[in-house]
Amino acid sequence: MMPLHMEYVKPGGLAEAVSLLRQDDACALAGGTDVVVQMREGKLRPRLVVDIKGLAELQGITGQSGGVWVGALVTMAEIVKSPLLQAYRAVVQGAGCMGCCEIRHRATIGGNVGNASPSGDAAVPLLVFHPQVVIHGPGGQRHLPLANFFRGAGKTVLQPGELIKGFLLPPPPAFSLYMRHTRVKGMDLAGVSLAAAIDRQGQVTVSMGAVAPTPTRFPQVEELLSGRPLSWEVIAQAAEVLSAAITPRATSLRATPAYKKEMAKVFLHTALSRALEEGFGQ
Amino acid sequence: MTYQTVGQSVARLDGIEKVTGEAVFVDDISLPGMLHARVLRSQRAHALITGLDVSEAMAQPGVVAVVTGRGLPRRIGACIQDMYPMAVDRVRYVGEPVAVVVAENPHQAHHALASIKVSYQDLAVVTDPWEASRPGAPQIHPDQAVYHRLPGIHPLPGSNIFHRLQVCRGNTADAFREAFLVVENRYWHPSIYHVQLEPHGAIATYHQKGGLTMYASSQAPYVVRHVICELLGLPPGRVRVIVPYVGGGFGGKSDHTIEPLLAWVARHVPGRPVKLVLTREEMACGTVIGRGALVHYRSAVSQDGMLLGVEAEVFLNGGGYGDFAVNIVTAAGISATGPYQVPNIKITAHGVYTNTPPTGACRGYGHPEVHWACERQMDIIAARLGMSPVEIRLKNALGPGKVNAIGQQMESHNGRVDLCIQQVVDALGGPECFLPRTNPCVGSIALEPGGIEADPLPHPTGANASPKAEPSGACAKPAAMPGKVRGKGIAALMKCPIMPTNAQSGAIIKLEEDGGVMVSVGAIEMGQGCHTVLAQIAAEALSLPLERVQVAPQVDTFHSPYEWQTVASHTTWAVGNAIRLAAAQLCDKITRAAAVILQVPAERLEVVGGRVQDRERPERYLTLQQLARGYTDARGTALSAPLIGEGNFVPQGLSHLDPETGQGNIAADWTFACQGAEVEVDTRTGEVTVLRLVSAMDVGKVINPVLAEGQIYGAAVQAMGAAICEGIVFDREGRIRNPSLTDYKVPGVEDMPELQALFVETPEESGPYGARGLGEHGAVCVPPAIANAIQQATGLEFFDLPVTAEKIIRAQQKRGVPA
Repeated sequence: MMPLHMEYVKPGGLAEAVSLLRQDDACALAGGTDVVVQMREGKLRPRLVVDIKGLAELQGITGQSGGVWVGALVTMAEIVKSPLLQAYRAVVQGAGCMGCCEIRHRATIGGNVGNASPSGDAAVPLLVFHPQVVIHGPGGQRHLPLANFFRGAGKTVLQPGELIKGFLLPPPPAFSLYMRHTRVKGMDLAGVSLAAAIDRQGQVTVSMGAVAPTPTRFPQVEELLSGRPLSWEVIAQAAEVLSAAITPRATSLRATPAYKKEMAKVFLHTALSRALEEGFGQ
Repeated sequence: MTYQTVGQSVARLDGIEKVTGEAVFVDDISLPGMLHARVLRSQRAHALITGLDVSEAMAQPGVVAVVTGRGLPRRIGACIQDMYPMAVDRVRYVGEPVAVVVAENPHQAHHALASIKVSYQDLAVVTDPWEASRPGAPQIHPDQAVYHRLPGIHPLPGSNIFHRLQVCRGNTADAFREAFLVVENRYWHPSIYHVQLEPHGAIATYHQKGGLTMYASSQAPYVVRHVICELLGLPPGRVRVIVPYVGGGFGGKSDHTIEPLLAWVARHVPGRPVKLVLTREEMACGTVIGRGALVHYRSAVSQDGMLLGVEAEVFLNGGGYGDFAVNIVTAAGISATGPYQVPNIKITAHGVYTNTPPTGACRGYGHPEVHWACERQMDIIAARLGMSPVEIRLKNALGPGKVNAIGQQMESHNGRVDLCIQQVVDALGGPECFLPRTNPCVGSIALEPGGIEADPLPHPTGANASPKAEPSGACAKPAAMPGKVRGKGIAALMKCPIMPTNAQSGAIIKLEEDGGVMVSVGAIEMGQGCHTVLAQIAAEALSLPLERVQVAPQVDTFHSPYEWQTVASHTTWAVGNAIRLAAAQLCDKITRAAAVILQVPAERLEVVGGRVQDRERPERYLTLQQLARGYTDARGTALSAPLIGEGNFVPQGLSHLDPETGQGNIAADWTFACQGAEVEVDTRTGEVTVLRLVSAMDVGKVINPVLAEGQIYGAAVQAMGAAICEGIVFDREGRIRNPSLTDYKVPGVEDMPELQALFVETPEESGPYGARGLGEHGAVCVPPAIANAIQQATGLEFFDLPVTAEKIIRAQQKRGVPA
């Protein structure tokens, strides 16, 4: 049941949005696929809902110095269709499997990252592309690496009045892949997920979802795999390290820790086998 | 026999209304002055209520009344009167109604709930039916001995067992002593939700002159009326229950759920309608759940694969109240041997109180629970004997002249399970896909007479609360290359409608002034298409084109003929029979009226194509329109009056089961079927893809093929969910951990396998045009068919539903296969 007393404002511009979001118990609303659900469940009780859907500064996918700018309001469906983002395959795969068709047309990438779910289907693959999060707030604009954005399950570095303006993606890697386990093939939250990327210098990046309070990268695994030809021995060793590195909570209904640890190995193995098949990582 | 309308895939009569959104459901109805109710539900699974203070809630804005169980006059229940519509002094499951706020709008009602103060004294909680059946388990109904109950219900005093049914034939001790092979396992089917699209909802007005009117999303308006009459002490003529379209029932809207609660609430605000529509999460804990059964199954088999004996113990979760589950216990008990002839039988089925929401009817009604055991068992036996799973089934199949578990002899018109099995096997690629294992597992089993046991499953404790160990696959076949493996499996079934011996169905057919007819029945159109099928039966019986037949879409206990309830897959069969009787009576009245006008003996007249005509001189006729408008002769004198046919049907010759042996004529008819699955298992992730589900069913005459296929597809996919992804998870305190569709996963469009429905049409003597029931049957043995296919693909044996990716990986690891 929705809160009894709640104000709704659709600001005309970014400055107005920021000043509204500074108010106590204000909450930004984009696609609403997380916010509305949390309000219905009583987990979120905003007094002011600031609908940011109309903000032009948060829209669009554009090429920028070899990389790509992705506005926070870009939907999953737009990501899937974007020619510029096809080179970032993992995030296209993540966006393409989230929710259902209707949800993908509502859900935004800024929302998925801002919601800071441990298993965000856009957030987990986005991590392997080393993006900068562009944050707009009362103090102006600031940038930080996405890996430093998350503070815990549902928690981020965003301060009152701040919102995600978009993401700056560096030039794409040579290879990337996202995979996840769900209990049904369609609409489900990822029980465990993994994204991997290999750049042209052979640097490997690995992130996982639903194994820690936030989408997480694994530097020790990346270090093992980077800058050398991928052999089956190295992959097997990295898979063991990755599996040992994760400490998933025991209470999840979506997958047990034992299964997640097993899938960490299987997914990493699958991703890197795929890279080798596609001619990368030698 | 050729028919005009029967056997045609006519489009459903309610199709356009439903796809355009014009069809009216309970929540679409708004009445002047309507109030809204929200329910405060117990957060304790088992506790005494030590304090309940609603005064602050009463003072909240918009609140008109706060209703509690104080003053409830009596317990209710059709079989066992063991429940109040809302808690009185004690709660027995999380979700049990404790108080209801009635307010001017739903928001006010919802927000006032937080102001109600309840204090509890906690009692020990048990959610597992087997644990709850043990001595020393927390007693959930300490005073069950004094409850009023129907004859034929056998509680075990001083325990949580509210009903125990025994089915005994022959001498199992001898059979097991002489057996070549004994296979013993424990099987678990968790509790599941029905997941109806439309949530439970009702609007009730308690009239100031006394009496009550209720709109309800219900499969059972006459049961609802009866229970409300009993609860409020009203005569049936003062209680009106109206059921508009229902958006899915699956048994979860049969008997009664929220209706007595809302009637009690409305009693407190006379003259004002009160609406209550549940949320998805409330449907999980505030109505009924399905299944929840442990089956301990022992089979004695001869060397050539004949079933010599079956001993089975069934522990069905009744939940906090057992009334709805009594007959599920009976159904499980009498069908535990599946579609096979077994000469020596000892089955005990227990219904057990636990601290979960009550278990109610759920598509299949006791049959899926025991078929999960019986049909897994058949494949395990076949593997042990090195026999084909097809051959062992055909060898033991019931058929004409054979005798089922309760002593009923099958007649030739009862249907052919053997043909169903053969059709499914052929559709899946032929018998060569089901060859006996080339390397039957003999390592752990001595193939000698004198009792061999497979490892029984360690008893699952706490239902699905904790992961359970899978037994290692004794018949493991060597792992193929890591990757994907495929397998095929079959399972066969027999299901009868479980109903009172006097389950009545009525039909009224009015001749309208255009010569068409309006059919009234008490059967609910809940998406299954019954009104279309019943219209076809009426059209056939009256020799009218289908366009001239309407079925009144709303059922209203003030006008509609009596119907026991729309359950048990019996509507086409029972209501169809009532319609044929009504049509015969209407035709009789038409010919008698026409005989006067045409001056021809009534016996010479026939009703054909919208006319009543002289058989010998067909040019002498009247149109039905002429008759219906009130025929007048040349002088203007009326020669005909309004014509209405009525039909009343009750199953013939049924009797109660013998209390000692469980033998008796309780089943009016049977539907036999076989279902097959082809699956692909990813051995690295454990993920199962169901590629195909094939069902062959002897439904007798198919009245509407496309609707019949739709029923079978829907049932098969629903049961596929139970096979691979569904199951309610309770924590140790009895709280449901997955009350919403976030973590209770049902198959979606991406999971859809290729679906196929095949029909064997052995005409049923007792059915209209030879038809039998088919609505539930497609849900009965999909889980064992899928698990049998997984066994063929992986060599892993599963005893515990659902068979998830996790369980497959765990079983592989236990067997020592590298992923």
